[in-house]
Amino acid sequence: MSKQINVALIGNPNTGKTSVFNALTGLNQKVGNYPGITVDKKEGICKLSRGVKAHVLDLPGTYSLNASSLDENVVIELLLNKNDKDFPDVAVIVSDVENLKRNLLLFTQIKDLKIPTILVVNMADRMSRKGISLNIELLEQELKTKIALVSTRKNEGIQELKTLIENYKNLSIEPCLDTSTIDSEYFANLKKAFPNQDLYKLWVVISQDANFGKIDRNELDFSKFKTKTKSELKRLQQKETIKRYQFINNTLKEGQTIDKSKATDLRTKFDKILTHKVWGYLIFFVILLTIFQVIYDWATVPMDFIDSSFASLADWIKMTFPEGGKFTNLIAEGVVAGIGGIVIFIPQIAFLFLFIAVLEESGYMSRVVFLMDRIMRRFGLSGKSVVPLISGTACAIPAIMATRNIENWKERLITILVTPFTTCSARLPVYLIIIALVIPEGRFLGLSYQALTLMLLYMVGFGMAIFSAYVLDKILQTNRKTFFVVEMPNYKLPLLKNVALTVLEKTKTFVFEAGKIILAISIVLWILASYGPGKDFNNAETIVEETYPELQGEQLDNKVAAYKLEHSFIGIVGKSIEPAIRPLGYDWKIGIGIVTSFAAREVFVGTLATIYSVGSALDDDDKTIKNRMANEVHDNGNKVFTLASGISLLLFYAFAMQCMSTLAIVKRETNTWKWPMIQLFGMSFIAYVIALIAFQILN
Amino acid sequence: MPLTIADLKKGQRAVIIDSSSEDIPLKLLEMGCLPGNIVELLQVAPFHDPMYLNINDSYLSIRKETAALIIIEKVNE
Amino acid sequence: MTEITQNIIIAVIGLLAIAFLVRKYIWSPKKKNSKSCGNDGCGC
Repeated sequence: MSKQINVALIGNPNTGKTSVFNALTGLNQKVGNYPGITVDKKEGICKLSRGVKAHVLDLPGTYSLNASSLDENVVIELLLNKNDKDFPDVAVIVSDVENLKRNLLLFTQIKDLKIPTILVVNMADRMSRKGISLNIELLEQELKTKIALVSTRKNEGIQELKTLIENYKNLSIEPCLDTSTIDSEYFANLKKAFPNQDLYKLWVVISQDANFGKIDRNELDFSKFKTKTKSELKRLQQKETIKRYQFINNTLKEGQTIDKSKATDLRTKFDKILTHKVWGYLIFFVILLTIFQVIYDWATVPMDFIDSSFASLADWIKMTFPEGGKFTNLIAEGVVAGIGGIVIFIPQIAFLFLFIAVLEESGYMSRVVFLMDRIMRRFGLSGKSVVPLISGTACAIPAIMATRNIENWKERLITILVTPFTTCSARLPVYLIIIALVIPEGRFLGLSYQALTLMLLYMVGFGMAIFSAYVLDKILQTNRKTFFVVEMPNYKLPLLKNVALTVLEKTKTFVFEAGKIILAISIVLWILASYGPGKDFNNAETIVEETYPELQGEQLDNKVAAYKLEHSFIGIVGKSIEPAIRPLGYDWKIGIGIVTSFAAREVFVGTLATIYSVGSALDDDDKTIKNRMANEVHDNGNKVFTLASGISLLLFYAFAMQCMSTLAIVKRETNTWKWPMIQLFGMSFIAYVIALIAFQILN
Repeated sequence: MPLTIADLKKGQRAVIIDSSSEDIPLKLLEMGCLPGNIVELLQVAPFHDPMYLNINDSYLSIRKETAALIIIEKVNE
Repeated sequence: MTEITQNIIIAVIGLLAIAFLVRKYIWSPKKKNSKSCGNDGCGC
């Protein structure tokens, strides 16, 4: 019979808590969701000894039980709710040896909740470098806990931690200080009113900042209790904090010695340059450019490989199962193409998240937030919006999820709304093919026009994001309060394991969240393109043969297929919107492409490939899609893809909200349909108008 | 006009006198911004905003509007 | 595989796909209160 101990990993951000979690659980971890709120639930299993397991919950990093964001609220919700199935048998507080003073604040609060607690002092390998030495026995006595000195980098102390966890019943549940003395009378009254409740727990419930989610107060009825005003509570909280620090300072005065002369301080040395008014920004932009360049170069090889592999797979399926007829086509053209369309973005997305993870793990991201905050705020955003905006160039979905750490709701909302304007990976296939079609050869200052156009499109994306943030900032009601407090952690070498696991997790999010939706839509679209109402569709062969009696073999097949497409459900949709899109320079075939793209942008190229490869009755040796498109003409003989219509199309794709997956995520993160709908109609409207103007001017 | 953290120049240190303003996030206090603790200004971004500080050995950055709420007294070095 | 069989299989798959999408987008919130972002100073 195997026993399972519930463990909660709690601690300040930047203490290496994640490393401890990874060291305990290895690959036996998964990320899920807390019901009802959009915070990731990270849990895993750790084998302690034979027959004894630990279920480890990695709670969001927080500085105190007083939550200042949704993330942090999760911690306190769990710790106050004994009936939660994840309620811990033992709490493991992870602290880092350089910030012990501040880390212990949370520790003393948790002790007050009378939960068995272990203190992990992480990054112990840095102790000598910083001239720090600890009297463990004394600390264990004063703090009424057991301490594990851990270094995840050197893989030390983990076994000791596991042993401590296994023997959690030996831990003391006495608080290390008495907080009720900050206002003895008030607490005495509390105790009288609620004799069956733990005093500190009551205090936490009462004093929570109402902005950050209400604790379930069902079992506690405060209506009869004369509680304090908000400002009185705030003062009391301040008193509590001061009292805790007094205790901590006294304890550390005995238990910790720091020999400053031994300390080496890389942080201030690096920060002199990295947060410098001029150099800081230069370095940041160089890093950004390098990242984009590298991703562009590195990603093309695997992408080409994936592209041809899926194309071969589709062909193979068609050849091997001809008897499946339409069903075979559904699999080859709908399912395989749909899955291929998702998989092909994995290299790009994984690389981008790799770079971002490295920057975050090293501590550099906080400096970026510091550098960019002022500028961002002019546009209604926050310094913390930088990460989502950059991530948006890979895929908006994990980017929008990354906005969760922005405390101010308005800044967060605006970030969510404008991130989709940044040029995501899915727009690239569309850009590349159109650019190759309509932008002329030639160079300017050493760069090809084509490369310049691409760069311009990226800048247009960012520009529009910033501009619309500015507009939204003016429109939405202002929220005066600022909660901006950003820790600047010490620089450290990123742990490969952490980075790898982060990249894995974020890529999985993209593949499954976006992937499922794109696949479903690909199937539906294929069906809509392969079936049609009425006699025109069903009698396609007969009609075409009668109209073009001279056509034979493959040319006849193509003509029939083209006719069928025109009269399929989707063809009808394309034709019906043609009047609306003709002023933009598009015809009904492009119209179909645009409609299907509203599912997912990358579908555009595949759709056009289908439309043109089956739609053209030309005698073509060169079957590439690009050549087909280049030869496409309107009824009046003019080419379809000209500079004017090409640019119009590029701009349309730059601004239109063509990603159902993104809408789904925005709905989830904002808890309402209002914002995704505004995004859909707003962005599409902007796209339409700008594309219209562009075509009319250039034509 | 009392001196606040917003008035500090780069490299200057001071002692915190009063951090009881209601608009100061509790989180800041919990990170060590309490009366009696030392604050040092390490870096400023353009427009003096945000400010990168060392408060009680906690390295963090806050916006200027928050810094202006924390009253300090210069330390004679 | 006769054409009818093919069409039936395709129809089934199509309906499954549509059902999935409907569930994803028109999923009636189970315990969602009107705690929506952007309406008040919810500080979410």
